Amino acid sequence: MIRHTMPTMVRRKQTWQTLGVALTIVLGISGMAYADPMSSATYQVDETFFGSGGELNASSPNYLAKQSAGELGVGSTSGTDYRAEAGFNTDRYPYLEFNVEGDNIDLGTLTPGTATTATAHFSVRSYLSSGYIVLTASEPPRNSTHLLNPLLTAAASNTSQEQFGINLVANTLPTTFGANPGQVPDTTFGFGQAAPGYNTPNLFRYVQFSPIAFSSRSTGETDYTISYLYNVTNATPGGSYHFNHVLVAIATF
Amino acid sequence: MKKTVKTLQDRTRRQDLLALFVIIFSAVSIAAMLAPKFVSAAQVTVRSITMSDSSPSGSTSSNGNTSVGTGTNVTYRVKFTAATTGTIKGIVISFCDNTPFVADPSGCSAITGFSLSGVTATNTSGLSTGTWTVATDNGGAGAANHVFKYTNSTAATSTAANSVVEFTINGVTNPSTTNHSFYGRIITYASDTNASAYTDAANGTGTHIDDGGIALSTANNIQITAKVQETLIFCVANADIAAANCAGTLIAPDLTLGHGTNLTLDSSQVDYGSAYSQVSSNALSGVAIRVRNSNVCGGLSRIDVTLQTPTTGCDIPAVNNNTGGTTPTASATLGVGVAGFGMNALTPATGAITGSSGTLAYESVYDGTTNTRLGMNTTNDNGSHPGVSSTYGDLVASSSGPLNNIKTTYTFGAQASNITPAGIYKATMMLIATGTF
Repeated sequence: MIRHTMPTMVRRKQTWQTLGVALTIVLGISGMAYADPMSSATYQVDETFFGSGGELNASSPNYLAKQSAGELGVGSTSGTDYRAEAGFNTDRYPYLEFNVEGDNIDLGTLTPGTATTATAHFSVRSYLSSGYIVLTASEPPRNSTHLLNPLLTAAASNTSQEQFGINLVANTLPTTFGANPGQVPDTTFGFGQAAPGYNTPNLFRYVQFSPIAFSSRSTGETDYTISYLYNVTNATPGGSYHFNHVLVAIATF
Repeated sequence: MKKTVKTLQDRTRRQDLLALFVIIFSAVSIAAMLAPKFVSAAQVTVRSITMSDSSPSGSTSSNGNTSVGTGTNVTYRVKFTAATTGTIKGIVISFCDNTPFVADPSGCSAITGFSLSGVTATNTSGLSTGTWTVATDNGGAGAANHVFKYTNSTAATSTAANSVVEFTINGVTNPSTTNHSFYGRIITYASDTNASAYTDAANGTGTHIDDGGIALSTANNIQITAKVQETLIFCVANADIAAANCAGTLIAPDLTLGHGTNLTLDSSQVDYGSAYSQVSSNALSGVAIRVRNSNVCGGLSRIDVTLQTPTTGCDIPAVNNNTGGTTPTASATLGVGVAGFGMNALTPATGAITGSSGTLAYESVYDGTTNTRLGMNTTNDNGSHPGVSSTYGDLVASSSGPLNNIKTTYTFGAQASNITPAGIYKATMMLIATGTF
């Protein structure tokens, strides 16, 4: 019996050893990963809904709606390492919407000793972002070889000096013109602001590539009004001065 | 013997059961591990693309010295924070019109007018050193040159998580639609081969390190045009002109040179009188002020009592009357008892108008630094000093650029000699300003 039993035990042992090795190999190569589109350094979340129900595309000939019922929470939420939009009816698409009214403004002839002003408009909104800035990318108004003197430091209008500057607020000097940033539909949805240096009434500044507006969070629409100031002197070279104002919006996601 | 065999069999059976339990447990674990689960490849954070120009391509810049405002040759500054530590050997940015999501099932829609054709990359930081190669393609099936691929096959330095990666893409052509949102999909790779193999298809991203989406937007430009006229403001008065731009009431100078009750000239002293001017001009090459004497001789001529017109004589001659066409010498002080007429000019040291700018340089023959020195050049040096009797007068002062509210004080002096004929002597002095624009 012993002679019969020993070989059997050895075969059994070899069988288990083989299975063990195979199992080890399988364990070693197992595991697949998929990329998750939404995450932060400390957690990640998918599009998740906890509630009583809802419908993405409820519609009839007369309406189209997204519906939800019994959501546990809605609205924006954020911490130091994350920001999220809660609720069933959230859009997963981050975006930047930037509209500039393509104004073509003719200021006529500038007169030494008299300030000339103008306004233009743009709007920004940015969703699922950490905010945005708007830069002014153009050089000051130019006549062939002469650039109008830009106000590198915010300053008031002075008709005895050659000046070019802008701001994004409402002014009373040298005349009443401009407007403060307007949030659409109200301040609970829009959070854009005029940037430092461009946010003081009656003080104007112009530095190429400087930020003129910003938001530090995801925001609805903010409507901005640019106020332009021109002052020339008798020594300002004659000719036609063109200012092709290029604005660049940069969102951080 | 029977007991030993049985014990051995029991042990074997227990071992079999234990092994079976391990296998079953492992199989369950394997099943759980093989089930699909979402493990984050991680999203690059704090990511942005800064454009140097938001103009749609095809725009015209009204500033002739720059391409800003044309939407072409635009630089894109790419910046993101790595989420996963690893050696990055490839970065792909796919620019799409529809969504920022990597490997989105809807694919990558073409952006009208957008192109990466011919772009280069510079100012790289946060990545391995070595040779980084730029390539662009159509993402496998889409529009030409919308996918940017940046690879370095020999990269060996790891980019730590939370470190910043930046580089600039030069020569981008913006979308041609204004006020238009579009997207960039960033993917980082540990293999340059995998980066090069990227396509926009749903499964075309391949094994990669991190990814993330960015939204960008073109925008209209705002065009503003304003005109400044060429200007020359020049005035002469009998008193200091204190107001800017020759404002105020200005009285024409009518000088009587002399002393004593009857204000007469004699040989005992030089008598003086002053006139004033103010000049402003945006002439880029400056302003010249000339003086012209109505008397051909350049000095003071006696008036014919009957005709009340100057005679042709020059009994009080011009001071510093050069001969031989030489350059006029500096002004000089009239000698005692010497008949002569002349002037000097200078910008007063005090009383400058607020905001005035620019400088007038005075010719040495009329230099009024020492106000007793006088000059009145009458000889043509065939240069800028043709003489006060010439068609356009003699140069007194000039600037090399624009002037704003610059004053000049002109001092005229005359003296008679003991043999100067009696009479009334006159001269009409014209000051002429010329701007070179």
